[in-house]
Amino acid sequence: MLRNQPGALFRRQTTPLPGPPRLKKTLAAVHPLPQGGEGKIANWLAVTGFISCLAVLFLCVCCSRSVIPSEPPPPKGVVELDETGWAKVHAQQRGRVLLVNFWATWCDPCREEFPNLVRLHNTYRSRGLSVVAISMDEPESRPAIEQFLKSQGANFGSYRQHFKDFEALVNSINPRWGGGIPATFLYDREGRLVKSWEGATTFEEFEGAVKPQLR
Amino acid sequence: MSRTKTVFVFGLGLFLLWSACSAGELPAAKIKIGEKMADFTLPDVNGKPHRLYDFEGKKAVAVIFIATRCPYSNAFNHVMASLAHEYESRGVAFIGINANKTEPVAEVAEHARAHGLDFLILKDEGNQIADRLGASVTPEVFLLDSTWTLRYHGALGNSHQPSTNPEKTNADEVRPALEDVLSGKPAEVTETKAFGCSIKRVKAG
Repeated sequence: MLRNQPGALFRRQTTPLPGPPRLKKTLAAVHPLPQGGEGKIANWLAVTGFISCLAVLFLCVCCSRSVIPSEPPPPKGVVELDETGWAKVHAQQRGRVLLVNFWATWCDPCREEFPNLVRLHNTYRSRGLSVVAISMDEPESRPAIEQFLKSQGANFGSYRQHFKDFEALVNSINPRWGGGIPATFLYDREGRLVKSWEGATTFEEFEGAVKPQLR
Repeated sequence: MSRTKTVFVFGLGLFLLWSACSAGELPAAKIKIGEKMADFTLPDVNGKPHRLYDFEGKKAVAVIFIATRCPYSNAFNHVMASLAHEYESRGVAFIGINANKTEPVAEVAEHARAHGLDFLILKDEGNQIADRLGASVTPEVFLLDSTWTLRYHGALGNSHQPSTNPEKTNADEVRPALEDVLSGKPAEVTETKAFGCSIKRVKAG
């Protein structure tokens, strides 16, 4: 009857909700309470429930924060990276999902792929994704590396390979990596390699592998 | 009994599917050291077909995957040219294969002329031979002996410190293997890591 009247929705919202009295009646029917006590218990139940919900919410937020360490601040400029440096970078990112990309300024597919890494980092860094880029350029190409990174708006750790034995390093990362670039490696929160790509990879392909690790 | 069998076959199928999926990300070398390479035919830069087994009677055949636009491969142009000069007179045939879909045959011909790569250069349209050998980068060498058996696979040199600077490149890794094969011995080091640019395959995009 109310529904057919103009402005019924507004009036209905302002009408006191019939829920609590009905609930009280039901509770009283099932568990008869002494007069005057039922209101106090209902209030007590509501307050306790509310506080419990808040506590659970607070715990969830706290736990999720303690599980995902914040992203280590990226070093300034392009840093020379040897085997010891690589081990350090890898260890620093423990607890976060890590995507490591090998690239070079002269490598066209690497340059085409790079915006996908920047977008991934911007999209998922707050959920625990770190990105690290390792350039295979010669030392004289440092200005070109820096210029390219700037043009891409990359704000993650950037390095230039200066490994003593690159073959040994590659074999330690994934013996099946043929050595072609671009090559990208995905590590889970415990630092275990979970996925490898050789050749230019799309944002969607990266995202499809990264997202399940962020859960 | 037959039900157990069905379950086993189904399980095996699932396992194989899982292995195929989990192993699909990086290519593994198809031909192993000590295995015989089957004959193949590919056209040269003028379209003339050549067979691998046309080189019967040679002491060894070095098949090198090359590129025109890859700085790693280009840093080795002078290494490949001088190796071919040096070893062709000692009974080794050199074959360069370009399997990059992005590099047209005219560009391959011009590149070889400009860089003195005067050994046979073949164009592997569709990457059939690159796939069969399991080649993944440029430059990458497969050294076969007189019976077409793979004796060495990997880098020409510099596998520990790859460089795009021609002044730093050498043939330090393929040379001992060539010497071993020519003297009839098994190569001491049979595999190294070939670094370079991924071969731009037709299907991988």
